[in-house]
Amino acid sequence: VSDWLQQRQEINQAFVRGTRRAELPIIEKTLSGKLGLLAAVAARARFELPQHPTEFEQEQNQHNDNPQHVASMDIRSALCRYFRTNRKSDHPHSAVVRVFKSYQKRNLHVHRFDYVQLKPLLSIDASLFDTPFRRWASRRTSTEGSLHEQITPENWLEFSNPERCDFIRDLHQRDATTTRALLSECLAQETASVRGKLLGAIEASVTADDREFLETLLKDRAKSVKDIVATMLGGIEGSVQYNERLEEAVSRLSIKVSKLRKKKSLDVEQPGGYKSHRLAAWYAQTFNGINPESMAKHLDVDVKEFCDLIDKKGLAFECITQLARQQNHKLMVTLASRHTDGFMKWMSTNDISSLQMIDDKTKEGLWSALLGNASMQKLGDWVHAVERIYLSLKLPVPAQLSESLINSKDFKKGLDVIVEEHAPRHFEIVERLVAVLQPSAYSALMAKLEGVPSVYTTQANQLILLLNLLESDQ
Amino acid sequence: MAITTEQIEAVAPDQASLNAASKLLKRAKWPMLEQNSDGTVLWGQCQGSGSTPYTMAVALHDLGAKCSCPSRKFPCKHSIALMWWYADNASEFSTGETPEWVSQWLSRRRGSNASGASDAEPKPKESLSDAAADAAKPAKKLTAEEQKKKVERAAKQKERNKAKREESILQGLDELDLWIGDQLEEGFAGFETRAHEQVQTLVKRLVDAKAPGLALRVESALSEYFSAEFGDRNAVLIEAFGMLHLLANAYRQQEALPESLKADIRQAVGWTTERESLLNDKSATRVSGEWMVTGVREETQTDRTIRQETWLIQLDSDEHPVAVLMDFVPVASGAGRTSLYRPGQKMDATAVFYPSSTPLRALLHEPKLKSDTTLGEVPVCTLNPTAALDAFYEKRATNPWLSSWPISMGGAAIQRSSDETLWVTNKDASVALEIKAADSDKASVLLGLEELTVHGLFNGKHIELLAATTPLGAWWSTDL
Repeated sequence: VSDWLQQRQEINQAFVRGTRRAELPIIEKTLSGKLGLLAAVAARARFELPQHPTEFEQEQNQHNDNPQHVASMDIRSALCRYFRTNRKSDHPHSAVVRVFKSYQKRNLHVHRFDYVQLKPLLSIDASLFDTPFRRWASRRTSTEGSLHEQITPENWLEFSNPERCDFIRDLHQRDATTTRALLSECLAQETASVRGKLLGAIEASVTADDREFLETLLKDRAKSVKDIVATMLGGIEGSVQYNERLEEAVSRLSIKVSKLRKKKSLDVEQPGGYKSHRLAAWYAQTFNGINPESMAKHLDVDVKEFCDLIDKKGLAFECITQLARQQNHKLMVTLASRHTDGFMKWMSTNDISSLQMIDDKTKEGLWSALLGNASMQKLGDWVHAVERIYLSLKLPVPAQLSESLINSKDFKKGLDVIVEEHAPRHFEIVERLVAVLQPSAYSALMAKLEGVPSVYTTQANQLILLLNLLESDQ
Repeated sequence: MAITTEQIEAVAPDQASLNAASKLLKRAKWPMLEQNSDGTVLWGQCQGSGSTPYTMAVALHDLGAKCSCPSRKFPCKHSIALMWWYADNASEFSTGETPEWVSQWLSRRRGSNASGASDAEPKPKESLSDAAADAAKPAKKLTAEEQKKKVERAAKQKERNKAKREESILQGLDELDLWIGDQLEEGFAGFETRAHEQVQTLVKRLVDAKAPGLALRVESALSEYFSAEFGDRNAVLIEAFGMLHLLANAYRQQEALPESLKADIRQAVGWTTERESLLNDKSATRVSGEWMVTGVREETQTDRTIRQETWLIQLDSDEHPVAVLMDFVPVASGAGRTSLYRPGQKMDATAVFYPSSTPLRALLHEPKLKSDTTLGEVPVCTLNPTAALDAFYEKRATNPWLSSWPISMGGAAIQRSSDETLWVTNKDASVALEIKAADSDKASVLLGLEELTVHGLFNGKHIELLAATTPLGAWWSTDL
């Protein structure tokens, strides 16, 4: 063998250098002799197993393989069918959230054999998935990271920055005191960029209790961090930053009373020269997060009356996030029910993540307030807005409301218009609708879809199958 | 025979075709929608922008389709729309007698009606519209004498063409040898600087010499050379060029070789066996039984076609024979995954193997799909690693140009070496097969699991995993 190895090395060197320059160890130095030798070396190589290492890495099991936490074969099969990677477009965000919220609710983890197929979903919303899956997905680019299965207040510093941000975001909604303590301990050791990201993670759920903690951060050495903190404080009633914003907001408003009828109206002093989209941004910047009760007090009118006035001006929506933050749910639902179409339009273009904080009962009230009156004639826009609300509330449309919506004349009319138009942008509409409705409405929905081309229903049927499996026998 | 929209979606080349087909789902556009009495074949006419409607037919058992439109996509939007109509509104299809042009097309596909066909029979028309037009014309009857002469003329012409091609191929082989000789003279050290230009010249000559198989091998060698690690590149050239010369020599001496190996050599050079002639070939190896799909893989070839392979294993046999179905789709057609099969699916079928010393590529005759068994166990035969490798080398000794062969290993594990490469190893790691780098993401989920039975394609250097039986259930490389 060693002779052959040595001989082969000589032959290979000659092939590499070129037979014009290097001698081959053959008698017949013709073309056919050289080619014959080449073929012999090649054929021999095809029967040699390449060298392999004798030692391998010790693998630690980082996966959650506990059968109790792994979905049944039926569910996995339906899951993989629905989340096929060869689908021509992305899966709707609402469907991804709905399916994996159900997973979370049932304390299920993604089976490790499904990681590859489901990996694209991590880019849609990584927070829906457990640590082992996320760690597996990031391992290709980095071998760093914690080996702990669960991220906890004790080990969270060992995780990657995106994982830590997700953890802080989630923890702050459940336990703001612990979150503040954890942040206080670690922020000094982090870079400005990481400090900004960690603080940004609590922005949607910040409350008056966070005020003191945030005020200490106003002395941060980085301007970018100070700006983030100041913005967050601007949403907390009573803070200096909030009062400045309130003052600015109120200075732009004035109440006028008509002389004959003594009817009150609200005047908004808008900045000059702003086009509509810039004006919308100005409205959001100036009024979003300002409590209508504070503004009413400054303008010396009753809060109910003030709400009527701002409602007419289309400003009511800007107050919603503050009301959610203050847990002023009653007023929020009242506002939502008064100006439904505009409210839904506003929700589809603004950040409404703070709505996650409200309780389930209020969420249901908000659904009823919004969907009870909204027109479904333009079904495409309606579904888009409903999807946005679902993504904020993370709660499907209540069962009874789901059924009545599907059975309404408006829905049928809207659907007929869409099928008649037959535009590819609407092919996913039923699927998106399925993602926000309760399973009890699915049979009514499918009955309404009889005769509708299957391009609208194929994906929806797969999603229904999956959600029925996931949510029917909890 | 019912079809589902999911099946239609699977055969559609892209979303654009589906969108275009959906616009044809208006009854007024379809002057004809018919099916045969047993509901296995559909045909119809769809009014396009021209005055003559397009004519198309669909075989429901495998969703094969033919249309008279000039579209390069396959299946075209008209065929998809016809399937779609049937999936949504089967009642719209009236039952009729199978037209001649549909029968001809079917016989060309399956060979089932052509078993008694002689060479004297007219060849089916390529174009359905032509076929339909011809079918409408009264057939010109030939006398027996004329018929005989026609057959003789056709046979002589065929022989002349074949002899001409043989001569041309032999010239191509000589050019190949000279070209390899030139490379040896120059040395492989500077190959990368001259590779593209010189390889393209050779490829053109081999194509002109009517040896497309050889041309493809040369192009594949080039792409393998550039994708290999720098230190391995010379070894790639030695093996590729050496085996090409061996193939050229074997072709010249094919008459002295066994028929089965001769078939391998001729196939490697570029001769093809037509589907219907294989199905009609009584001497072809046929294996009937229950087959299971172990994986579907696609590879874009250098000739701008996508080779789609569906790997099968027979369940109801102790030897568990394997087979691969191959389909070729032009890249330009924009087709994605077109296989009707999913891993784990079982079917009763007869696999008809292409002639080979190591029969592997096959056609399925009238497969009958069973209920979907996705996510079940992978019943591969368990072999110890040494025996699995011996079996592989035995196949390669029979057919030296064999690129890869499915092997199974029991008691295996997936392990990671310090350079992050993944390996299939046996218990004491005395045997380790490197997993292709492109597959390491998929295989990484098997890390840490013990007592695996893995089933994959081994090419002598790397293994490409298709399926595995694990303590956590079945694992499939192909998306479910």
